[in-house]
Amino acid sequence: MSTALHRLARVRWYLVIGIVALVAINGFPFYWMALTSVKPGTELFSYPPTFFTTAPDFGGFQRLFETTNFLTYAKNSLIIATGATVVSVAVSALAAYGLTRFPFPGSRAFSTAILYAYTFAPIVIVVPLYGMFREAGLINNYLGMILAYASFGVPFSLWLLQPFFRAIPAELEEAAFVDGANRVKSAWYVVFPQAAPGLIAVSVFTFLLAWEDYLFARVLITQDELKTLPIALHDLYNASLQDWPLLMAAAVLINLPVLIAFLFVQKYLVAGWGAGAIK
Amino acid sequence: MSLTRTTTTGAPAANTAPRASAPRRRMPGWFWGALLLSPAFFLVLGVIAVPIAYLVRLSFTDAHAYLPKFSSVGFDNYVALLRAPHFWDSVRTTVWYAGLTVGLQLVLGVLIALLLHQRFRGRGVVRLIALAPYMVPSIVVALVWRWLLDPTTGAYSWFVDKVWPGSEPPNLLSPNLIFWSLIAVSVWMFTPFIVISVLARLQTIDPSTLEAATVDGAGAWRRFWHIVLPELKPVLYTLILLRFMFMFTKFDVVYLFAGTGTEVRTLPVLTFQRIFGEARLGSGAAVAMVLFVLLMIFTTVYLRTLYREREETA
Repeated sequence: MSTALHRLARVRWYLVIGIVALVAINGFPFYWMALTSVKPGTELFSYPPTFFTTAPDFGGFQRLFETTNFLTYAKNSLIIATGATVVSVAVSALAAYGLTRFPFPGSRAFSTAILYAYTFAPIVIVVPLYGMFREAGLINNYLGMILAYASFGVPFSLWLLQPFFRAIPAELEEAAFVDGANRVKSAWYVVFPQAAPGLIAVSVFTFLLAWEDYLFARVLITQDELKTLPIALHDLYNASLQDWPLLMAAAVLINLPVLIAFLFVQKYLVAGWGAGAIK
Repeated sequence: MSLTRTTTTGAPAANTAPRASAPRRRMPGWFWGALLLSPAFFLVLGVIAVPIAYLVRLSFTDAHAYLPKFSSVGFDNYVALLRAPHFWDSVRTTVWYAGLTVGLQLVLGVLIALLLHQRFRGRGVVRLIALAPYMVPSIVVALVWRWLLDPTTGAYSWFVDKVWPGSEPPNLLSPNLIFWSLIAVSVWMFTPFIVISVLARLQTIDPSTLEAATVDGAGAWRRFWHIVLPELKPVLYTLILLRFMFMFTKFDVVYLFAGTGTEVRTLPVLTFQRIFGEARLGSGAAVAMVLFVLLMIFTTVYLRTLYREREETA
């Protein structure tokens, strides 16, 4: 009894208020998005607005799949984001291994130079890239998009991966050599599994970078059948009639992989941000 | 090198027996280092460094966005840009946008990080919700907020009516208020980045220092001001520069939420409008160059600070 009273008295009200406000401000837009996607037409513009619906209507999702090429856009996004992730992670894992195992004169300068590249703004790069891709025939091309996103992923990934590789003791690899493994085998079976948390974090980072990007896709894709989800969604919004349940249904579906990835790696994300990026 | 080194742990003799298959002629370490680095090097060179060089060239031409028209015009693009009053408006808008959003993000970010650092039940879930806005695609952020703030659809007008009954809610998407709405939406979206970074740093502060201060009678405010804040200072300094760089060049959420007209025309939006609205690739390249030079200055300052901080803590 007395402990319960004691606990109640110790409740810090500023903490409670802060948490409730934070959850409301951050969470409500997501709730409203999901709610709108299943609101029946009669409730959509009612005043006062309804904050719950007892008769969910999945017409928004149905119209999204029947009247737009949503699945094509999703396929494009998936191919480009996966391709960019594979290229970027492979390239930066090799480079991080090289930098930490075989330092050579100028490798620190190389790291710094790559770091500079990370800070280059997409809006600055996309202008000449558009000109170059136009001449090289890489506009409206999966490969062009994959290379563009992969190279944007590399600087950050390399930066984040280096501490992970550096933390792996050289003795571990030497033990593998003693057991008869060659360098490739020891890297594959000993070093890379040890760096798995870092590799997962950069994979998710690169995938989301490509999945969510608007600017590069807007500039480097002009054909409807090659559009990625973000530009397709913007074009649906700009269409003459704004069908909000349909738009919010699309928004919910675009967010799904993001949410899954986020739940899956949030602990790596916090660790990675702490260890590598901001220090 | 490490291949020929023997183990120092004194393992059983069977394991340390010299291997017959040891390579006879070996490449030097730097060769392998360079080989492993080369894919990253060429990718970054091809898609980031070469384009920058090409951007410099484009900015001195009258290149068209869709036609193969291309001739040198010297410094004309830059001269025209510096003479145009709307360019200076853009610079001012960009500085205000970056300055205000970074300042607000920082204050709110530190407050939220301190809040989430406290021990309470359900902290994991609250942390996830606190970080969520940063993970969402900017197109979704822009659309959801335009839908929430739409003056005719209810949610926001209803809220204003509940808090101040009978008041007329202003249209937050109108040309004279959209800038302030954009600030709010940007702060909502990007504050989690500060929260994550500050939270990571808070976790490394030795709790015994804080306990000792409490025993000595220091209140919450004094503990924050004299112990926590000095510890956070380096990371905050880094974050200010990093966030300023990002917000200064932010394109997507600005354009998607507010940038289709002329009310909120930051330099990135001006670049985009020049090229894809007016089809003037050369002129847009000049705007991008101005952005690039400003960015290089920030980056240099940023990296200097970062290295100085590394050396201090090392």
